[in-house]
Amino acid sequence: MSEIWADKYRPQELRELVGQPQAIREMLGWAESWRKGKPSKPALLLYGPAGTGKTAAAQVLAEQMGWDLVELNASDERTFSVINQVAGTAAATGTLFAGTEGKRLVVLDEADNVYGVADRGGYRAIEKLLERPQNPIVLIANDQYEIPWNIRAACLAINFRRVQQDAIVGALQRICRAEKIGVEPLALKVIAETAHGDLRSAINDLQALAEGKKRLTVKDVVLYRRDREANIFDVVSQLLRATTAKQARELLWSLDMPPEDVLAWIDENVPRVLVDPADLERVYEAIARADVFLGRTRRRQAYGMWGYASDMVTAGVAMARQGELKYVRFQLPSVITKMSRTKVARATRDGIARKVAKRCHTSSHVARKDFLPYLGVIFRHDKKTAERIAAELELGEAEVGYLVKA
Amino acid sequence: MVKLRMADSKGWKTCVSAMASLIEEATFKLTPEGVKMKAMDPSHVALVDFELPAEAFAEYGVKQTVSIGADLAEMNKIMARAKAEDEFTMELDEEKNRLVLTFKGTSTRKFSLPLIDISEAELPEPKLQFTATADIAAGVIQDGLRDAEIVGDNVRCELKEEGFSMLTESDTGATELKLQKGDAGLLKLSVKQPARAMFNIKYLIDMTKAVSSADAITINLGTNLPIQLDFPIAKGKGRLRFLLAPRIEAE
Repeated sequence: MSEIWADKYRPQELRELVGQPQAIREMLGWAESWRKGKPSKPALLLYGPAGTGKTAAAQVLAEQMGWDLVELNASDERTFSVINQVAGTAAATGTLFAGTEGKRLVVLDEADNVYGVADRGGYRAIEKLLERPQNPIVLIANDQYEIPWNIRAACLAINFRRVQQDAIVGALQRICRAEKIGVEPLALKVIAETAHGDLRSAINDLQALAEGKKRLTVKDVVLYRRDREANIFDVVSQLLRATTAKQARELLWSLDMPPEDVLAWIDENVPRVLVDPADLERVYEAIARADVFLGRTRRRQAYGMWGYASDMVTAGVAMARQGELKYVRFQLPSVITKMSRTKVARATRDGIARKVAKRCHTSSHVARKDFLPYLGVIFRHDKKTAERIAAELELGEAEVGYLVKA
Repeated sequence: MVKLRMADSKGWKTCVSAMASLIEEATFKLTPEGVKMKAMDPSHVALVDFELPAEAFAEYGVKQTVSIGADLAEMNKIMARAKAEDEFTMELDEEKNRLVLTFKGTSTRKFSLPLIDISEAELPEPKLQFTATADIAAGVIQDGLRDAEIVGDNVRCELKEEGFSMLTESDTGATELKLQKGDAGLLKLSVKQPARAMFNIKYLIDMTKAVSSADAITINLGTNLPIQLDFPIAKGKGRLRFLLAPRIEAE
């Protein structure tokens, strides 16, 4: 595979970083104070949306200052002991090349990814790290408010803004020139618009569209854009025409959608295009089995089951069909529309169930399943008792209304 | 067909055990001349530099250069199962992308280890101006480090004309180890300029724990520079070198 353009054209110097002049100035000022001694805030917090250059800026800064670079990514396991050991040691030790004279930049990427950090003492380790570091530290986050305040307070926070459209177009133009690709100016504008200030995704889109081509037109870009939005329709229709299991499975790879949603789409649309009842039976069998696997995934957090669900819903469905197809317009899964229509009612119902659960010392699941139907009967037929129950449970008007109608 | 055989497994066992305490994954580069491995720990404070020439092997079948990426912790677990006197063979199973390790003693035992892909960034060679060097019995260093561990996290190593010393101070106390010229543990000493620097004890313990206490460790020091430790392997034909960056002393 060829090199990813977003890496290939990453800035070599901080001033080449696209669209972040303010952030660059602040970073350079901070780095300079590290050179002179130790700044009052030994750590930086770079925050802002994805694809705006935070990680690139940290890496380039290290290079430019001649600092050694140690990165801890979210993919590394980030427990207290790992952060303490790897980052802690890195922050207190000189370099292999220049001893105590050398500096090392310690970068903690995705510091707001509380997944791995919060519950296993990760933030406590970061706190400790910031107490008295001998080396510069950079924390990187999308959302600065996800990070505990005391850590934020110990850092100099620098905001990375969404990159302006003009700046994105300029960056894309430079890449096109370097790759010797002729391009209609409007095409780049459309890409930049789609990216919403995310330079990395703009560059990725450009590469997907233009790599290996001599010329990129507006038409290419517009088609590509529509393609991305219409993807699920394509997947469903191609799935029915897939002739091998492999082909069917691979369809999902290009689709950015969780298996639950894919299942809903296929469940809604596939049976309606089948002609032969025997096909219908086999296809539903496959969908049902996929659903069983999804249920196991959810209940047991066993994500290994996901693969089986995906295989059943793609290859299983595709191979189950043997007969003819009729043409039907695909539609949005009814389960999605139904869920959104019933959202308020479901919230009310769950609210009542929680109140019942508390009074009756049971789970809200049991309350909903076993208690609510009887409450409904009482509310419809015995007004006096209903009033007493409503008072006891402190039910609101909407909740009483729900029970009367239920 | 890549095949390496050693008359006993002790040497490889020792080396892997020392490497595994510092780094998780390593790429061994097998050239017709010998095996090389160089890697930094995740914090970039320690570097392992390992070389074992073809002569050190009883049989060395490498025609072309190949790189073998391995999980060192796994390899170490396997090597721990070997008896020191077992004849030891490593073979590359290119088809299955595995490394096959065979120990031949009273019986023949086989292990296979999946190879892993490791991105190979060429490590720059640190150029350091050491000003003092000494050969010291490994047992002395190992004892000194274990003493120091009781007291603190960091130890100051010093080489002067008079000899070698290790000093640790903390709120819980202090400990000092001294080796003077003429002491049995100090095998060689050459000081151009006195040198001292402070190092993390845990790292030093990890680096030195695999060598047998009777062997000599060659230490190179420069003031506030990394410490370089060399261990004799395969009767001096190969080298196992560790570099450790100095702690920055808090003011």
